[in-house]
Amino acid sequence: MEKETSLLSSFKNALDALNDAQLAEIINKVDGIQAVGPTAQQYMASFEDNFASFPLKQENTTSKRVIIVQAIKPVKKLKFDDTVLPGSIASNINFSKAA
Amino acid sequence: MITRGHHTCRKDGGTDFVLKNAPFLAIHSPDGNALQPARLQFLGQGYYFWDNNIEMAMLWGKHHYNNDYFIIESKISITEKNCFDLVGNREHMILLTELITWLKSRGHDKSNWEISKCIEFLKQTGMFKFKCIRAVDHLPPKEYIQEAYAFVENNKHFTVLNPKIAICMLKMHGLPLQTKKLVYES
Repeated sequence: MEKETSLLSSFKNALDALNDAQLAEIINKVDGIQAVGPTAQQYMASFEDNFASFPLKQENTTSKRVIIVQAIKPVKKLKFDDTVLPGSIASNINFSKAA
Repeated sequence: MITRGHHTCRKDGGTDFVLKNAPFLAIHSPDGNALQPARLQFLGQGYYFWDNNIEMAMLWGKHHYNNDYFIIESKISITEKNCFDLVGNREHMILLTELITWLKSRGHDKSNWEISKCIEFLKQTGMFKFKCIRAVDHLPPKEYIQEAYAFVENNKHFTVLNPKIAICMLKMHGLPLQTKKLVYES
């Protein structure tokens, strides 16, 4: 098995050293922050408003091989409801919750 | 690596005040109320710069400061040790994805956590020693045109040479800023 790099190893070791109570306390602190961002529908409305078209539009120029990118297509089709905002790491979406 | 960071700010206080006190803190306060609206910073609370991107700094000033702003430029020293680099360091990216897996293995399904919450978790554990965080945002405003450069002819594969990259400095003390100058006034 390939040896893990030092940063990952050190973080994993430190995480593994947390007992259940310590872990729960930290998670509660992070989750204790109320989610007051836009709803999924509001976010997607804003998202769609930001792009003129989907998916990628390409234009070749005469001076150099340049393609104008109007939108970079998300790697995965979004599936969510009101309670789940896009941007979760696990679903591999390339963008985070709007500020 | 030394990069140029571009920080947009209001003109309040004038040139001397801004040059002396910039960069200014972007407060992360998700618990909004009737008096104070919620403020969500992508990478948490900190001092934000665009990574060598005066165009994005100008767009930020246009949209967030009513087109009345300064842009401060600083040279920033970024190293493997001082920067949690979600742009150029795969190990750092893998750490975040594996964090979710690890949390699940400990009985906490946090697959809906955003980047900012994962970073907040690492900060809360006390093991996050980085001075800054660097990340690319793949959702630019529509005025910000990204050109995709093809790698070779007759092939659609491409790269983008003007990504929208943000740098968040976590603390004022000990910031790896080497210089600070006013480079644009609207």
